[in-house]
Amino acid sequence: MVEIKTIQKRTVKADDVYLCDESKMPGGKAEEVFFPKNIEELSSLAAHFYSLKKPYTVFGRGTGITGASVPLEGAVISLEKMNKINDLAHCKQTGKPFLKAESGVTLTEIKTSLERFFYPVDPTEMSASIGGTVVTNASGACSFKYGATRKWIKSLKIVLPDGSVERIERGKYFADNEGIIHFSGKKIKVPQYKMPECKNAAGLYSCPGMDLIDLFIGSEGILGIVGEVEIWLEKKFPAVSFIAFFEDEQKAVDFVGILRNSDPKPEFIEYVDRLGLKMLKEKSAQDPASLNIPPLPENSEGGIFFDTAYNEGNIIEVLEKTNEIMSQATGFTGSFCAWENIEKERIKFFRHALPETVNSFISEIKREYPDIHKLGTDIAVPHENFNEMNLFSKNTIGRSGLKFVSFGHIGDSHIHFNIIPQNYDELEEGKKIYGILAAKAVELGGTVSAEHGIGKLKRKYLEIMYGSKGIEEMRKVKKCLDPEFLLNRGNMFEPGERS
Amino acid sequence: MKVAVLVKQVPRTDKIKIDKESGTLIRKGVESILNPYCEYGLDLAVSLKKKYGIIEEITAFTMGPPGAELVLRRSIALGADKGVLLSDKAFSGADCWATAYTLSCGLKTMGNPKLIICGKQAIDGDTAQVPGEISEISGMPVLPYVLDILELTEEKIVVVSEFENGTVTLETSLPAVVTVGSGSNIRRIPSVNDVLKAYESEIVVLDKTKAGCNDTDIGLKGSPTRVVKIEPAFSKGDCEMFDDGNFNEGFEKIKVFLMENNDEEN
Repeated sequence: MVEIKTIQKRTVKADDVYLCDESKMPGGKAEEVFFPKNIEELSSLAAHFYSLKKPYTVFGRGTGITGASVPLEGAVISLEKMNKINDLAHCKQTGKPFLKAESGVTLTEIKTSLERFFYPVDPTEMSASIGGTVVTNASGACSFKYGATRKWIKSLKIVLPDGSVERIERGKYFADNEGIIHFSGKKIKVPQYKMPECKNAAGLYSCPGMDLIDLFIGSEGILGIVGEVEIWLEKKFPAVSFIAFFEDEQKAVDFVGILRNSDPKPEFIEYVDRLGLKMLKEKSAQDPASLNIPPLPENSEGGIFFDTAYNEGNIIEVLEKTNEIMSQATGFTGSFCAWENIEKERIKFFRHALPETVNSFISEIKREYPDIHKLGTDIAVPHENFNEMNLFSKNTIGRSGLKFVSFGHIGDSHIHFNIIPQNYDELEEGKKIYGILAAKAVELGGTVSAEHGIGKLKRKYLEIMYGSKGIEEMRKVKKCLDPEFLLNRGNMFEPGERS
Repeated sequence: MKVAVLVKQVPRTDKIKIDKESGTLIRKGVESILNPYCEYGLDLAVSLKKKYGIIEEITAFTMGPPGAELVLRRSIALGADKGVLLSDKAFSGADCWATAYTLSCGLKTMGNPKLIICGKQAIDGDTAQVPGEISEISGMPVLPYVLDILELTEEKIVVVSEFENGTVTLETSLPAVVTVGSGSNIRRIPSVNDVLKAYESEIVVLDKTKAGCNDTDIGLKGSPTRVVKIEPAFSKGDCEMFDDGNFNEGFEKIKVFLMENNDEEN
């Protein structure tokens, strides 16, 4: 055990960075923030708080957007000093490459440490900590081909709420026929509800005979602190970037059905709707250098972005196949294509410009209405129900007259509707609509949160998905590992709910 | 009419670093791109082809290692009809003059295009010598820093060129060399069809024999200049700052300076 007084700490100030994260959730409160340098210090802190029954919140890099790292009381443990990356290694059995990193290491640091390999989880925000991405089961565009974080975790070193440290390797602990996992002297009864058959980051993981490691991945930090992570890597390869434009949104959506089954499978498939393209065109007209993109093909009201990998020998084949499916697609109006990095960066910048533009609109509105925020859905549904969900969302928001755009990970049937309220009445109206859309997603077998998690801001939607029975099952898992509910209070469950 | 566009593969300048010891660019691991001024030249050629029906073919030429074919493919994706790569180990070490000679040989093999369009300079060496030297070697006039082309026929060309104190209209008979120093800041992005065409096109590769070069006029042997030493430039200027506290004093000082140094007739 490390003496607590030797661990770096400081008092939390008003407006401290550790009182808020990218969610901009107000009301963060804490007394002091600790900066453990390694897993021993982290474990000592957990044991210390356990003995004092002191609640605490773990802060990765503050990039989450559901308030999961916003403290409500007690202390904060920041993982930013736990930033060591080990050398690349290879699995003795399979030869597959993997990397071990402390949980405060950022995705950018992982990316720059690798030459021939890459970590395929790309949640866009590369300043996120690897630990943070594990506990939200982060995904992003590339989950279309590679799956979410869950698939890429080889092992976790977890500090449990009592301070004990456990290394959990995939394939070591499984739930028995009664749904019980025997682990660290405890019997954990895993939830019995059925998870949606689509990308999902809402609620604790559950499936018959499940692996214990999957319970911690996507757990939003309520069961233990991720101290160290081993991640699988993939070999790097070149890819061509494409944008296909269509005369209307539905034709763009229909093209995705073809693209999803194409060979080779794209790295990702992303969507931008008519209003999104309009917003970008207007921005470009005002300041052409801001987007650095030439005029779009005429009559384009929907766009699909995708990258396709190639080997040195088959770039022509990739181009031919892509050209063929585009030219045969109904309503296709034109394309952009880039294969050199400098040009691919332009297309990527253009793709990311829409969420940035929405944020700049919100900042403008905030001048008059400081508490305004955008309402961004994180809904995904099974592919067969995407059209229904998409049309329902467009019609429901459209009827209200609220300003909105939709864009995102259409390859995973997961697009973000961003409602942009112009005043407080519209904000309230938007919140009601958000609830209606969440209920519809669940009715269609989908999720209320495909990649951002529940945190503190989306708790009420979790119950829509799993019902009170499901919430109770999750709460029992929490209680088994953290009887006093000290760790990350307020994530997934109301702060006062402990039994 | 055949038009040639001379293009060069250069390192990405937003990614390169300078070797502090040698003062040269560290090119290892740095992506190569089409020289932006050459891309402006290509844009001009493509717009001329659209505007005047007399251009039957645009050929992009470059001299470089085998990997330089990528800038020819980019040129085709952006509107060139074909690409010619002058590549031979004997070309290595060429200075501007030997490069201009080699490119001139290549141009001859392609039937002596009537109009040769070049970027005003490459962003790696910044010498701006090659277009003028090609004009000297090939015995044709050069129209530098062209902003616009007012007229193009089989016999002549009329252009607007940019000079230090404004613009000037120039006219000459063809064949001629034109250099381009500006263009649209928002670069074009080709379509999938354009890129496919670029990759399916055969690049014509000319070695010293096929290009008809004299051994003594190419590469290091044919280069009259030698780089003896490269030193990084350091800023030596003094800067006097004026802020809110002494703004008026600064304003007066700048006013006096401008009045004293104004050589224009008012």
